[in-house]
Amino acid sequence: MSLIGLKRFQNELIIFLLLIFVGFSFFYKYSAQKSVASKKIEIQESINEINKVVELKTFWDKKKVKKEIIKFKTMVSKAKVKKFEKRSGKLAIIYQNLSVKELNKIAKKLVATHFKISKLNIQESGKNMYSMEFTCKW
Amino acid sequence: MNFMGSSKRRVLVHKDMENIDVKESIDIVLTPQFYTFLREYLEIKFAYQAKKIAPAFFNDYLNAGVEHQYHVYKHSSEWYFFAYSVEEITLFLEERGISSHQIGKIYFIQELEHRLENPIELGETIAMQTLEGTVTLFPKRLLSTGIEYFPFNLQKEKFQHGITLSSSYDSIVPFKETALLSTLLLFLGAFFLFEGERGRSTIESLELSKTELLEQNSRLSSSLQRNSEMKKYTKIDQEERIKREALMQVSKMISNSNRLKSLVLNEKTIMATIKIDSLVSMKKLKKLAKKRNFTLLNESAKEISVEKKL
Repeated sequence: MSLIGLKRFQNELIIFLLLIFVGFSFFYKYSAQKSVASKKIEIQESINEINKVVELKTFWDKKKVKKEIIKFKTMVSKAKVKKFEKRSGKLAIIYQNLSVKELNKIAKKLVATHFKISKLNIQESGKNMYSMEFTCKW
Repeated sequence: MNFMGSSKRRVLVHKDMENIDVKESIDIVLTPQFYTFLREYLEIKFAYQAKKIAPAFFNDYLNAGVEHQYHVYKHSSEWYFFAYSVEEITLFLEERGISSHQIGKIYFIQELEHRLENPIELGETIAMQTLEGTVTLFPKRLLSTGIEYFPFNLQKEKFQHGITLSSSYDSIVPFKETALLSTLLLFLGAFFLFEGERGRSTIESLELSKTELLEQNSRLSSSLQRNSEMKKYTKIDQEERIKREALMQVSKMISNSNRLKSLVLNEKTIMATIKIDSLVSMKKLKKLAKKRNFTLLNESAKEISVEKKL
């Protein structure tokens, strides 16, 4: 097209070019918002995932468990702790002649401590007397 | 700097003009050789209305084989109509060394009707003067000998009704509308770009908190590692919560009217045997066990055994 031709349609050409510019910028905005939305979800999911893992790791923290374990030995008199065996992430305890009160106390502590209960055995050994045996891991 | 109007060089266009050597853009002033002029008293207000009816006025004056463009403006109480052929003008100017892209604004010498009361000379044979309100060309020989021509400097004259070459073609979209629409479109485009960019910046704060979190827990930077740890701890968490919940349920079954005989818990089941004092508490316990999804294993007059899969 000659220069005259271009000049003749100068106004239309300007509007046409600006329409292309608007179309391009709208597409840019649309794609930017779309990618931002999906990226936002992706990042938020990662953050939630990290927080959840951190929360779970803190809850089932081995170091905390190690500190708590020793209390199972001192909660009742030494005579009642028949066996206390702590070995590489595993604890085996046998109590005997526990009163109901002592049994409840140990059971509460057992439930509140964040380790894996592998085995638990409570038996009535006499009137209001109990023996208790449990194995746990962490 | 010029805020008021065009400061370009002006060239008076007439058939006897000499070749011009210009590199920059110029404004041209047409003499009557390149336009047909009519004036009318009309009861119309706007130029676009006048321009619409302009071709009808020139029906009897113009060569039908040539495409003409029209220009109108109001002067005092009259409407001034001009018919001209851009093609004819541009072709002529090309011959004189002016390319069409160098043409800035187009003016009509009629605008200077009051400044041309005295004749001015155009080349060797032609003179120009306002006669009865219309700027007219005529041969010099018609004027009396020894007449003094008016010293005329086109650059110093003031023109108001210029048109651009593009607007002279009667564009579908007039200049004013183009300017308005262009501004709007420009703003709209800029707004979209701004919005798009703003969206991208909102994500930065989220990225920052993720980076901070990962700096504190560098081992979790890989999603594979995260998934593996998540699986491991979720499994432990679920299993242990179920065990503890089952233990709590058994403890809630124990009351003053009964007592625990034995309780066995392993990875898969929990089993409890409870001694009962009365039939009433037996019924109550059975109901409670059923409600908490325990299965009845054994039942005698004084004790009951229940079990639950974990």
